Amino acid sequence: MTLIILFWIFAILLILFIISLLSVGIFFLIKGNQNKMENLIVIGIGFISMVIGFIGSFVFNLGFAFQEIFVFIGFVLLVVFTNMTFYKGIKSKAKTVLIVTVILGIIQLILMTLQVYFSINTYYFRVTLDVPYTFLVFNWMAWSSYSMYQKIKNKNIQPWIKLRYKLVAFVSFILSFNNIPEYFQPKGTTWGDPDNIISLAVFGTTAVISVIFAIGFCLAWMMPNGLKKFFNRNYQLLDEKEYTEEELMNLIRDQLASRDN
Amino acid sequence: MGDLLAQKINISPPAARGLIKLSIKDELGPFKPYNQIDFEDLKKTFENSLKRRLIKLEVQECESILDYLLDELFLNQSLITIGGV
Repeated sequence: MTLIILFWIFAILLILFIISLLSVGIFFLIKGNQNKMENLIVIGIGFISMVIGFIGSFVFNLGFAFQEIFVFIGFVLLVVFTNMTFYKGIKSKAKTVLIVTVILGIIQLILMTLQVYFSINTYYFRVTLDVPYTFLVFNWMAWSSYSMYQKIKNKNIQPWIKLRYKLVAFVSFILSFNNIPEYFQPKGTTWGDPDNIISLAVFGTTAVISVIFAIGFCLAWMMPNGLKKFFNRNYQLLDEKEYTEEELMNLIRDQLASRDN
Repeated sequence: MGDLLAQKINISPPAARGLIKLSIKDELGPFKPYNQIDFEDLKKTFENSLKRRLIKLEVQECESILDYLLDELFLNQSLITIGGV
């Protein structure tokens, strides 16, 4: 009985994860369209793609291969988002990360096809490669966000922006370990089977990690204005005098002249 | 970016921010909302209209100042997204 209750708690967490992912995906699409930010549209499509994969697999029983295709699209788009947001025009490892992600994703699809359509047991090999695949996608985002936070943490920037960097880094780092529990999934058991405590524990760990990511990511990106104001409570927002163009240019000329004297 | 420009040419930060805002207006027109300005817009602004204004103001070593600002823009580009949503 306890195991069945636990199963439902974990299932509810997973539903919460999917709903949060869908909400933040739609939010990104709307904001990307409003602010003409292509990178937000990319990540929005990425999240919605993953949701289609999960719903197709869990709700409509279209299978893990179906899920894997949409997760692959989602993961690649997440890396594209990270590259577009942090590394446009900069010499970095961005392209390498994208290429490796695509290769690992294609390997996942091939191994999944072998298992589903040719009944070849590729489970542990697939999970072994799934760990670096997930780790790379989310750690790349986590690392990019964390290293940027380190650069700006002592600068005169609104605290809620610093918090967003920290939150994105933290929850992405957590999710990068999401596939490790899959190693412990017992053979021949359905994922999350309430009759098998190990399978249930694997399901539960995955659900908890996923929901931490989804809620943290939603909070980071969909932060209400009231919360932004709360984090900014000790920050002095700039309230600058408006100058006409002529006044401003004269002011700058005066300041440049006094500097030269 | 305004603060960095202010340090480089030794004027007050509000004046430097105003100069960048004027340059944005020159480059993108008066009706583009600030929250729709992306990385490419800012890059173009620095390379064209800000450069013209600095030359007009007879700021010395204008090229090296602009190179520095562009480097900083590249390094801090994520702020446009992270701080703009």
